[in-house]
Parts: sequence; C-alpha cells; structure tokens
Amino acid sequence: MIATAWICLLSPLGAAVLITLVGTRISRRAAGYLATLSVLVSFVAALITFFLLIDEHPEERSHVSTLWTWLTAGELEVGLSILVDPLSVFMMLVVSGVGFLIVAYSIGYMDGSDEERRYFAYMALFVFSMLLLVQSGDLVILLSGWGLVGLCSYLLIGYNQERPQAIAAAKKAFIMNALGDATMALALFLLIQRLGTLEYGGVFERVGEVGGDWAMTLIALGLLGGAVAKSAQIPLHTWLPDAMEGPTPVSALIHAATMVVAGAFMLVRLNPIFEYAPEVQDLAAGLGALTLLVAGLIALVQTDIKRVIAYSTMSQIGYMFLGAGLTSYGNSMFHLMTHAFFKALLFLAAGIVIHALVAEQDIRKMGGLARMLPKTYAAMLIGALALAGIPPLAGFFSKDSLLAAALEAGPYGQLLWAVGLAGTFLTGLYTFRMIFIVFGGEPSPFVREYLHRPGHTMPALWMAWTVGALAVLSVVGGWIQFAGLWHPISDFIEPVAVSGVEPSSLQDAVTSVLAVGLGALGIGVAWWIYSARRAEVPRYELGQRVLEHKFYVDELYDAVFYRPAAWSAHAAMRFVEGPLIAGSIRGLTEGTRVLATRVTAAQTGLLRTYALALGSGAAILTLVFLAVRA
Amino acid sequence: VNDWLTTTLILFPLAAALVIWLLPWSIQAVGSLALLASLVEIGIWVNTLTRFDFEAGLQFEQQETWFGDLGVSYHVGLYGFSLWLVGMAVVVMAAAIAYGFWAGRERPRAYFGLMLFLTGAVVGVFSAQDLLVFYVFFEAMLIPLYVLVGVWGGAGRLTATIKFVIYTMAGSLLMLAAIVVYGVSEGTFDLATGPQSDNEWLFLGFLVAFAVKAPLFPLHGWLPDAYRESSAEVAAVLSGVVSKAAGYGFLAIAVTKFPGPADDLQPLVLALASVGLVYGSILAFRAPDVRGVIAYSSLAQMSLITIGVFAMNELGLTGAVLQMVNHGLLSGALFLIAGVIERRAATGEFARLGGMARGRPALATVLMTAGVIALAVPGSTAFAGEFLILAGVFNEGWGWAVVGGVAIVLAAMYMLRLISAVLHGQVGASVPDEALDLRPGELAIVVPLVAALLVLSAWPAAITDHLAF
Repeated sequence: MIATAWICLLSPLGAAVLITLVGTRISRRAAGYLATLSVLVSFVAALITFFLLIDEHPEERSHVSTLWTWLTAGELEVGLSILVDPLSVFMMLVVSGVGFLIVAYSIGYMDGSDEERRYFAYMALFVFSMLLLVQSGDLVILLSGWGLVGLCSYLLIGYNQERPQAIAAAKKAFIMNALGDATMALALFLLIQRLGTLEYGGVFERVGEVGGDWAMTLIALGLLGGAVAKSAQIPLHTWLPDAMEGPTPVSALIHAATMVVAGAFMLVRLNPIFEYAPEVQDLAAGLGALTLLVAGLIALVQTDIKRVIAYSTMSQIGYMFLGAGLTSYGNSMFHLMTHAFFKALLFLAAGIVIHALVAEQDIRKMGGLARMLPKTYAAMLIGALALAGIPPLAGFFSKDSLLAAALEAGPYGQLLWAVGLAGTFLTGLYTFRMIFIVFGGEPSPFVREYLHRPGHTMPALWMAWTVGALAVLSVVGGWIQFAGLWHPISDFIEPVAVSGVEPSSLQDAVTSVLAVGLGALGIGVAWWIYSARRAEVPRYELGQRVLEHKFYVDELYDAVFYRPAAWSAHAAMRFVEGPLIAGSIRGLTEGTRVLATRVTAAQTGLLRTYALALGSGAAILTLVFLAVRA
Repeated sequence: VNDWLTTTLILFPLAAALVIWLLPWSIQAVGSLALLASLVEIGIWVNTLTRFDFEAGLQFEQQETWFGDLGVSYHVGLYGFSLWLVGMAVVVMAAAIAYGFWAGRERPRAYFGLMLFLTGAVVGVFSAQDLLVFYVFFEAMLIPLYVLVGVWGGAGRLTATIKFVIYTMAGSLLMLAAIVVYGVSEGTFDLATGPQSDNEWLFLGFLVAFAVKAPLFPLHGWLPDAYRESSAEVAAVLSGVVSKAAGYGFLAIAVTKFPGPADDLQPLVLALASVGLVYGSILAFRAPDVRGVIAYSSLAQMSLITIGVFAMNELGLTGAVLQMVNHGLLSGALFLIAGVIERRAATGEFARLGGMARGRPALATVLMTAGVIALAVPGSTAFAGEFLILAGVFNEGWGWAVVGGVAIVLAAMYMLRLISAVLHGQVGASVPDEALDLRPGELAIVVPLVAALLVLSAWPAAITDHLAF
C-alpha cells in the first residue's frame, strides 16, 4: 500500500522530468501521451491503495511512510513523508482521476500549439505537486506542495507567454498565493516554538499543549490565510478570475477541480488544530458564505464564458468552506468530489465551444449553439444542472446535505444556511443565463461566420470521450451518498475527521425542497429574461457598476498595496539610495582629497615637526593601549 | 595535529596561479589549465567530504607556530559548516573560471591567475583557525578582486573599484585593530581555542568589517556599481562567494567569540538587517536591469543570512549556513545567466529585453528554474533555508519573522518581474532574432549549479544534518 502510494505520487514527477530532459527528441503528441499515461498510472496506483486500505479495520487505516529526512535543525526534524489514510486516498483518487481525464482532453485541445511539450511537462508537474499536497505527512511537506501547486498555476496561467495579460495574471496569482504561504509559514513558526515538531501525528496529538492564549487562534488564522489565498476566498479572491488567461484545460484542472479546493481540504486535514480554535472555524464558514454570495452576484454580469464558470467555482468553494467551517467534514469532501466532476465538465465543454469559435470567449457574440453543437450542449446542460443542484445530478446530493448540516449548527449555522440557500437561487440564475445566451435562440452572426464544427479527427475524439466520461460522472457521481440513507464517503472520512453536526431527516428534507425550489426558480428567472425574453434585463446603474468592478477589490489592493510599494521603491531610490548611500561615497572621496591636500601642508621638511608628530603619536598609542587593556 | 589536506585545498589553487603567471602559454592552454586546476580543486574537496567525520568538530587541522611570542600560528582546519562553504566556493569559482574561458577574457594569464589566487584565498578564509591568518586571507581575497573589477570590468569600472576599495579598506582596518587588540590582550590569536570576550568595541570592529563585506544596510554603497560594472563571472564570485566571507565571519567570529556583546547588540543588528532585507527587496523590485535586480536581491539575501546568524539559536544558525550555500550557488548561476543574456542582447536593461523564451527552451528552463528557487518557492532548498532562519528568529521576537514574511512576498514580486521581463512578452528591441539558445558550453557551466540546487532541494538535510558546529 505504501509502495503504491509512492508510485501514485512520483509517476507524474517522472513524466515531467523526462519530458523536460528529452526535449525535441520526442514528438509533441508523444509528450502528451507520456503525461497522460503517467497520471493514469497514478490513478491506478491510487485505486489499488484504496482497495488495500478498505481491507483494513477502520481504526487502523493510517500509515506514515518517510522516504528520507528532508530537513533538520536542532530538535526539529522534517521527514519527506506521506500519510496514507482515508482522507488522503480520497483526494488521491479525485486528483488523479479527474486529472487524468483533463490531461487526456488536453491532447486534443492543445493539438497544434507549438509548445505542447512545455505544457504537458507543467501539467504533469502540477499533478505531482497536488498529490504531494494531499499526501503530505508533515506540515512542511504540506506547505511545499502548497507552494509548488502555486508555482505550477503560475506557469500554466502564463503559458501564452507573449500575452501581457496572461503574464500579469500569472504573476498576480503567484503573489497572492505567496501571501498565503507566508501566513502559513508564520503559523508553522509558532507551532515549532510551542511543540517543536511539524509532523502531523505529533502535532495532532499535542496541539492541546499550545496553550489557551492567543497562540492557538493565531496558528489557526495563519493556516486559514493560506487556505483562503489558495481557494480564492474573500478577501484573497481576485486572482482566480484573472487566472482564466490560461488554456481552458488548465482552468478545468487547476482553477476548478483540484488546486483551488486545497483550502477546503486543509480545513478538513488539519481539523484537530482548527477544533481548538472554533472562532477561526466560524470565520472560515462565514468567509465561505460571504464568498458564495458575492461570487454569485458578480457572476451575473460577467460576459466571458470562462469567467462565469470561474466565479461559480469561487462560489462553490464557498459552500465547501461553509461546510468544513461548521465541522461538516464528510459533506464538504463529498461536495469537493462532485464539484470536481461537474466543474471540470463545464470547463471542458466550454473549451469545445471556444475551440469551435476560434478562441472567442465573449458570450455576447454567441448564441444558438444548441443546434450547431448538440452533444456539447447536452454535456454543458448536464454540468449546469448539476451545478444548480437539480436532482438527480451530482450537485444536488452534495450541496443539499452540506446545507442541511448548517441548519443543525446553531443560530450562526442557520444564518449561513439562509445565505447558502440564497446562493442556490443565484447559481441557477447565472448558470442558466450563460446557457441560454450561449446555446439558446437563433445562431448569432458571429457564430454563423466563424463556427468550425469539430470533425471526427483524432484530437477531437480525445476531447469528446473525456467530456463524455465527465458527463457520466456528473450524473452518477452524487448517487454514492444519499442523505439519511447511506453515506459511505462520510463514513470513510470519519476516522480522520469526525463531523460535528448530523442533520435530522426533516432538516434534510426541508433543505432539499427549498434548495431545489430556489435553484429551479433561478433557472426559471433566467429563462424568463434570457430565453423567453419576456422581461428586460433589470438595470441598476450603480449596482451594475459595482458588480462589473467586482466590488472594487482590485482597485482597493492597487491603492493599498501596489502603489505604496511602487512609491516606496521610488522614494527609497530617490531619497535614500541616491543622496545618502551613493552620495556619501562621493562625499567620502571628495573628503579624502581635501584631507590629503591639508596633510600635504604638514610636510614642512623640518625635522622638529616630524619628531613632535612621532613623539605625540607614540604617546597617544600608548595611552590607548593602556586604556583598552585596563 | 598535522594534516595537510586543508593546506592542500588552500595552496593548490595558489600554486596553479603561480604556474600560470610564470609560464608563457597560449590563451587556450592557459584557460584549459585554469579550468583543469579548478576542477581538480573540486576533486580535492570531494575527497575531503568523503573522509569527513560529521560527528566530530574541527578536523584536518594543521598548526605551525608563526610568531610564538604573540600566540600567532598558522592554524587551519575545517568544521562541518566551513566544509560546505568551501565546497560552494570551489564549485562557483570553477563555474566562473569556465565562464571566463568561454567568454574569452583578454590578458588570460593575468586573469586566470587572479581567479585561481582568489579561489585559494577564499578557501583560506573559510578554513583559517587563527585570527591573523584569517585576516591575511581576508585581505588576500581583496587584491585580485580590485584588479578583476578594475581591469576587466565595464565602462564605469574605475568608480566601482574606488568605491569598493574605500569601503572594504575602511572595514578591514577596523577589523585589524580589533584582531590586534584581542590577540594582545588575550595572549593568543587562535580562533579555535581562544577565549570568548566581552569587549563591545572589539565586537563592533569585526561587525563593521563584515557588515561592509556582506554588505548590510547602510554600508552597501559599493554594491550596485561593483555588481553592475564587473564582468558577469566576477559579479557571480563577488556576490556568490566573497560575500559569504562576511556571513562566515558573523558566524565563526562575531557571534562565537563575542556572545555577550552579540547578545546586547542583537536588536540593533536584527533591525539593520531587517531594514536591509526590505530595502533591498524594494529596490530590486524597481531596478531597471537584470544585474540590478540580482545585486539588490543579494543585499536582501545577505541581510536574511545575517538575521539567521544573529537569531543565535540552532534553527537560525543552521538556516544561515544552508542559505549561504544556496545563495552562493543561486547568485552565481543568476549572474552567469545575466552574462549570457547580455552577450546576446548587448544590454541587461528590461526596457530593451523580452520574449527570449520563444525558441530558446534551454535558456528559459534554466532561468526559470534558478529564478523560482531564488524566490524560495516552498519545497526548494532556498525555502528550507529561509524557513529555518525565520523560524529561528521567530523565537527571538515574532516581529522579525513577520518582516521576513513580507520580504518573501517581495522576493516573489521582483524575481517574477525579472523572469517575465527577460523571457516573456513582446520580443525586446535589443533581442536579435538570430540570438541563439544556450550553447552546449554555456549549459555545461550553468546547469551544474542549477542541478546542485535541485539536488539540495530534494535533500537540504544533506547540509543541515551534517554541520558539526
């Protein structure tokens, strides 16, 4: 089991290194096959690990394996170790499974791009980093995976390296993630100081010894900072929409299915720490609720097909934070899985649309695609219905049980429950706004002119079968767990993270009815406005402007962080480096010359002057030495 | 105690320098001989490494009385941490010599002789166990540098050299005074066995000398010019290797011999270093050219290393040693890459660069790899070093670590700016279409440095677990 877990982790790394080293000696297509194969190997290895694990007694399903000691200093010892337990195996399956489908899809999508090798090397490296993150057995290794997925995200967002917007978006993503890495590192420093170890087992066992003062809250806050940055939750969310500059499969893999859910994963993985800081858990749940609402609102005015889906991602991760913050761990992880299916589906189907329309992403130019691309339409519709939480698709099961649990979590939970329900209305509305605009009605002039139907070529087939597979998963993926009747996922996760809230059947039923009703209502309103066109799109100048500027958060950061940094750099150069540092040396040189001229005057040529100087010099030196010695 | 190995490490490059100066050989022969000598030096180091006992302290010692009355002796030997610094130094020096050979420097006999002489002096600094011997090597290191910057540098090399001379001479004189007073008052100059001292003035003498050399804010006036005007490989040596003499001095002399004063003045040093860390990072973010970014990032990195040493606990010290090795390799690699870029575009100014990644995968991969390690991406060896340093200083006061955290974010900002300005975006005005990707010769010089960093990233404990303080 340990061996298969290591194979799962290292296989994509091997592919990334191999593709980089052999360079042009293999064809571009071969690089794609190699990367896909390596992720498939990971998935198979994860499956084997899973079956070996469920053979064991639930209490004994936890294994740590250390390859070698990675870092030491004094008492601190960090092993390059992985933890194989239900949670990590669950994540390994999701990451490598969905990852495999998306990398395979890329073989078709990236066909003809002249730097495919670089793309596939990055993709394989990303899968490795994400697996390192989820399999880590030590907080430093977790942080390493955390940083490496950020790096891969940077590399892939900036894949189109001639585009200035892509490079700017890539840098923004990396720097906001680095901010999260920094707060996480600070939390780890505090843990080192208090416990002297960062290995999961030791930390979870002894975290109670940290002390009841502010330390525990600060540790949890620092970790939450990393989670919020990685998962694009408010207030560190502005990088995710910009990240859509990357190729569409990248958006699907990194910015929907895997990396951005790392924050929710962390809340569950480190639950023994967060349990000691319930106020931070509440904060996480609150941020999730706020994000799901705000992202839903902003999504209403987006005109870029990928950005609509990106905001829906933010919003759905908000649900996961809500669940994990209210200690409904099993449901949160369940939603993570179904979300990975239907969000990957939405992105990849959108990728087919974008491909067919020669890279156009503006939904205002689209229309009437249902007739032109019927299969893509079907796939997109499945994804959209799953996202909106309509039964019997995947999103219904996971979102409803998550919300029902919130209802059980006291008054605060009930408040968040209400917010979450409002979110389901928004989800239905913005998702189907997109569907009706893109696929409904008559084909737009732009579509008539530019549409290229994908033929039955090899690349198109790779795209088709992977989308088909994800469509099936988006339908059946939710049936694994049915609130109140059977819950294998929650049971499987239970030994790692004991859920603190169990909703009653009544709460489940009420929530389901309301959530489905509101979701359907949202779809209905979208149909009324964008398909039947019975009503004009409501216009509120101010509201619209605020939403289009995404609540001015980008502008705020620009004013609060970027400008002061640029200004202080300018000021440092102008007022310190120039006059003081460089100027002082100029003054010193000048001074030396002047001094030299003066000293020349002392060369009188008279012996008595020299004798006096020698004598007094010796006297002073003697005094100095005596003084120092004393 | 009379083991010749350490002395061999010091004398071999000096002897090679002498041979090169004396024999009237052709350019090719001189360059090959120098390169060969630097590689043999690495071989000697590897031999030392394999024979080193990391459980024990000082070893491969040699001690010969020099001025017996004063307690001065030729005393050399290696601790675990000095062994790693020597290793970093000989590797980076070999890369620099190879680069000089590849670039075809004028007056090769003088040039390669000086580079080898410098190698010997640096090894001497890291292995001297007597303060006067240390001082001799410390100064011997400067002589070739003055000439290397002043003769083979760029247009502004004279100003750069004068600044460098004035600053370092001032620092060295203070250190000499401190050494003499310490030696005379304690009756011994021995570094390994000499007693600790409580004299704050002596501590300050050493502190200033090393602070100039590192450099620390605000004593870095010589840095921008020296790193910009010297040839790429000399800049690589200056920032990668020579600056580590300061870090080594802080660690092996300032903190070790003067624990009392170091403790008293710890807040002052930490404050200066923190200012330098943020200040260097901010200026690196604004620098208009490749070398400017690397130069000011060196200021920031040396500040960080100083913070690690002056955390004065095991975490900080271990991190500082690891980071010294990291930064030596990184700075060496980055300056050599800067040289490679300048050879193609005839400029390092960002305004005239860009788009070099297209069609140049090797250059892009090497610069990207070195760059992301330099910004200490988690999982890299530079991350391991910075993590330990900040964890160490966190114990002395959480505020220092917060400043360090800010600097980590700033480091991401300036390194990504450097990478993008060179590799991405529109093709720059000074980037000719026919500018080639890295040639095999250039790859053979830069890749070993980057490969060493990758190996260390997989196993930073290779150093941190084998220090033998």
